[in-house]
Amino acid sequence: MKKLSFILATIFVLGVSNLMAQDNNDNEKYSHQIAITIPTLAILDVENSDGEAQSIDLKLDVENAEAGAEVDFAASTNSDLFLNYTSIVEPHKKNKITVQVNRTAAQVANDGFHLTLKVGANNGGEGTLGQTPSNNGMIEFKDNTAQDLITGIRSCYSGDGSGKGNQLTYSLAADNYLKIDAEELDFKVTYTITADN
Amino acid sequence: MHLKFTIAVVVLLSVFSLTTWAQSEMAEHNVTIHIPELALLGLVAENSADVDLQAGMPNEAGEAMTLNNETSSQRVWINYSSIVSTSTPRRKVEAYVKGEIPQGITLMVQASEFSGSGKGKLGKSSGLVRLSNQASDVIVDIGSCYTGKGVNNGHCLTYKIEQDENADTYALLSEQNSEVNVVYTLTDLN
Repeated sequence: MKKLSFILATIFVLGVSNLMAQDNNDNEKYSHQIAITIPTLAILDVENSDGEAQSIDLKLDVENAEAGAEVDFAASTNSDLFLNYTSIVEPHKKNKITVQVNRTAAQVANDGFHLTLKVGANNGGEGTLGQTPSNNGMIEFKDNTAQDLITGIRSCYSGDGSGKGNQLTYSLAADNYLKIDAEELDFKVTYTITADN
Repeated sequence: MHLKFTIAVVVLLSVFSLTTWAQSEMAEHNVTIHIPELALLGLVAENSADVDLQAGMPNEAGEAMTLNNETSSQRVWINYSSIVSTSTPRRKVEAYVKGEIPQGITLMVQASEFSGSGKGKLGKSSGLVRLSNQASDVIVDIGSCYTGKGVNNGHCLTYKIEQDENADTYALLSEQNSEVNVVYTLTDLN
């Protein structure tokens, strides 16, 4: 009887041991990998209160002209449009925004005046937004040439929509009265965000 | 049984929802510039723009009265601003007389060549021009330009009266104080 009890007890202990033994490698800690990828990004648009890619008109004001006086070309301005952009760069890289006026040779030859652009300071953005032109934000357009407008852009966002980002003020400036003709000129202005090397 | 698994989670951080609208590296907008035609003219003078022309009286009996004198001290200037077009590439200033010029007398005007602060394609004087009730050209070949505003800008006007050459006309002279208006117009040269 004692022998049988001993044998039974042993079986029981071993059985219980087997039940409690774990059959995997669990510890107090377990880890797994997560890979986070932030891509580069460079996007922009031009907006006013009605949305994207609007047209603007600049009309020379002759209603208030006086006999003998020079007509005030600089009074023809438009500030409806805002430049919005978002940029994410790799370390040590930068982006820039360029602008180009696209005009035919015939349009260029006959004018006697030119278009200027003033880029306002950023409103509503964060990050490394870049620098606007040093001459109080103004550039004078050269036809069919990509000109730097905002340089040194790194990771940032300008703010989205009309009133956010950089206000764009277009104006006229007279060059040579000999070449000025009454006319209506239609052309496109293109903004591009690209690598700043 | 051993279960081993590795979870690789890729978290894409994006500011825009890429499924709702296309964002781009480029944006374009249209610009339309309107330059209208312009034609404005004005007369300016230091004091009044009215001009007096008086006949010179002889001192000796038998001498003729002379009318061949020019404008007195008033200097009247024409100012204008012009923007032409390809369909109207040039303008001119013409003048006519409203009222009656006394009989036996010829009224003439001469515009000086341009001087002053203006720029562009300014007009050329037509020289000494006889005035009548019909329009006569005084300044021609005006393109897009401005003379500058005020006296000493633009073209200065000099008036002259002459007795008509015809021998009969001396008989027609009579004591008169006549006032006439000279009207200047900037108009298209067609």
